[in-house]
Formats: sequence, C-alpha cells, structure tokens
Amino acid sequence: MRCRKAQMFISRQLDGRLDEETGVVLATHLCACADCARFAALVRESWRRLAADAPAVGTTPDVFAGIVERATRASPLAAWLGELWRLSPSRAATAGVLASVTAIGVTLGTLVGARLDAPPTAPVLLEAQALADSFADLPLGTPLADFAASFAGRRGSP
Amino acid sequence: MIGEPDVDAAALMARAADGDRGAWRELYLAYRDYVFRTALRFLGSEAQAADITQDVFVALFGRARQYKPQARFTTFLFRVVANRCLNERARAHTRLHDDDASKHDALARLSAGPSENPEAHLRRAESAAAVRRAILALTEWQRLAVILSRFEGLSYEEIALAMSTSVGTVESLLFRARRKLGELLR
Ligand SMILES: [Zn+2]
Repeated sequence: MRCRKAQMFISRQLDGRLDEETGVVLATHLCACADCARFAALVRESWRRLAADAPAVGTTPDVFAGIVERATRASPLAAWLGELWRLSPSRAATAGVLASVTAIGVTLGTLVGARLDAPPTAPVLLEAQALADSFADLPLGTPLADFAASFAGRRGSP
Repeated sequence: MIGEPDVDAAALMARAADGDRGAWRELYLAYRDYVFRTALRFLGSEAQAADITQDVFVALFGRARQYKPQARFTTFLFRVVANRCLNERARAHTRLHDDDASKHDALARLSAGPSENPEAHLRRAESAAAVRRAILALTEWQRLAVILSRFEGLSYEEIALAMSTSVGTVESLLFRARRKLGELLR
C-alpha cells in the first residue's frame, strides 16, 4: 500500500467507512511506516480535539420578526401569485395562465437584456469552487492552480 | 443528523408554502439553532451568522413550494445553509480577517465551571481559540464539509447533497481538511 492511499484510508476509517479487509491492510502498513503512523496519530487527535475543545456556541438570537418582515416584502409579485394560486378554483388553468405570462416575460426580458448588453453577474459555481479547492494545495503560480483558481473566479486560496 | 427535531417538517412546509405564519414560527424554532451554529462556525462572526439565519429562513419560506417531501427536510435545509454560507464567504472574502476583534464573540465565550481553577479555565480557553483558528484556516469548502460532518453528524451522502457535489469530493475535502487540522493542532 502506498502512503498516500494509506493516509486517505485513515481519514475514511475515522468516518467509519473503511471495510474490515482494508482496515487490516492499513494496520499492517501503519506498523511498518513511521510517517503514516505519525500522520494517523496527529489526524485522530486533532479530530478528537475538534469536537472536545470546540468553543461553545451561544444562544441563537431571535430574528423571526425580521424574517417575517423580509419574507413578506421580499416579493409582492410572488405574494400576489401565491395568493392567486391559493384562491384559484382551477389550479390547472391558473398554472397555464401563469406559465404563459412567464414565457412572455422571459422572452421579452431576454430581448431587452440582449439589447441593453448588461454585464452578466457571475453565478457562484459550487462545482467550480470544489474543483478549485481540490487544487488548493498546489503552489500558487503553477498552471493547474491558476486554472483552478480562475475557473472558480478567484485566485489562490485563503 | 445529530438530534434532529421531532417535528413533521413536511406538513409544516406545506402549511408554510401557503403563508401560514404559525408554521413559519414552528419551523424557525425547530431549526434555527442548526442554521445559526453552522453559520457561526463557518463565518466566525455572530452578527454575520444572525444575518445568514435570516437569509436562510427567508429563502426557505420563499421556496417552500419547491420542497418535495420525498427528500429529507434537513437535506433541503442544509443545502440552503451551505449555499448562503459559501456565497457570503465569496462576497465578503476581502473584508473578513481572522484577527477582527468584533468576531467570534459567541464562539469565544467560555464560562468557567464552579469547580474550575483559573489556570484550567485559561488552558481550556486557549485550546478553544486554537480549534476556532484552525477551523477558520481551512478553505471554505473544507471547512463546510468538516462542520457538517464533525458537528452536525451528516453522512458523506448528505454532505454531498448539501454542497451540491459528489461523495468522492466530500471524501477528498475531509481528507485534506484533516491533514491541515493535524498540522495546525499538533
Ligand atoms: Zn506510509
């Protein structure tokens, strides 16, 4: 077993996701490899400390009034549509009307948007950030690290 | 998930979708602590965590109709939480600093036990501060995976769903996070 693989298995074992057979192979490796044995001890201890020594979280502040206020004023259109939906005698018909209105709106919006040539707001691509994180340990300036960082819309890693 | 509230979240969400304030309140009371502490551990700031808590519930009630009872409610909830936390971090990336004195207030607060001597209390406070710094030193993705795994007890599959990623990525994130935590907390 290679050290890199062994260390991955140590992490997997901490999550209770290592099968028994691989566990035996890992234990054999740890007996023979001082580096991995040290890694295992370090990782297990820090994982334990994370839960044991984590600072206590105080009382959650009550922000319900603000939520109601924001949720209610967030979108008068959405509230109006919701009310229409609730009171509608035939939801199928209402859905048809709403879908048509939405389709017309989207088409017009696209046309107007294209004409205004507004700069698009960059969406946060969760997958892109995961990729960047996977390469986060690479030295800055390497082509792969640059690629990963630019792909996620940011350079480097905190 | 650790200590999931004993409420019928699906029924409450159905009522919440119809604008039922009573259902909003019940959902809020049942799940606010999960949202707040996850955001607090992730961002390290009580004020920002309170903002995120508001954002999450506003989004939750706004999208109550999209919730399908087939999916576990907590999976749906943590997805919204994860999104908000990651977006907040991306947005505020430049203005957040670990040494900001106004941060970590609730996280840093430790009360001495009645029988605890001042030295033991100081040691505990120092250790807590080291753990807090170590968590905040992880990349956003690693940190979120660690918080959901270690503090909320989510499985790889649940974390993958919350973070819109694969189980393999979750495993890799946790491995890298542990390696870094091992170095930082040695
Ligand atoms: Zn080895």
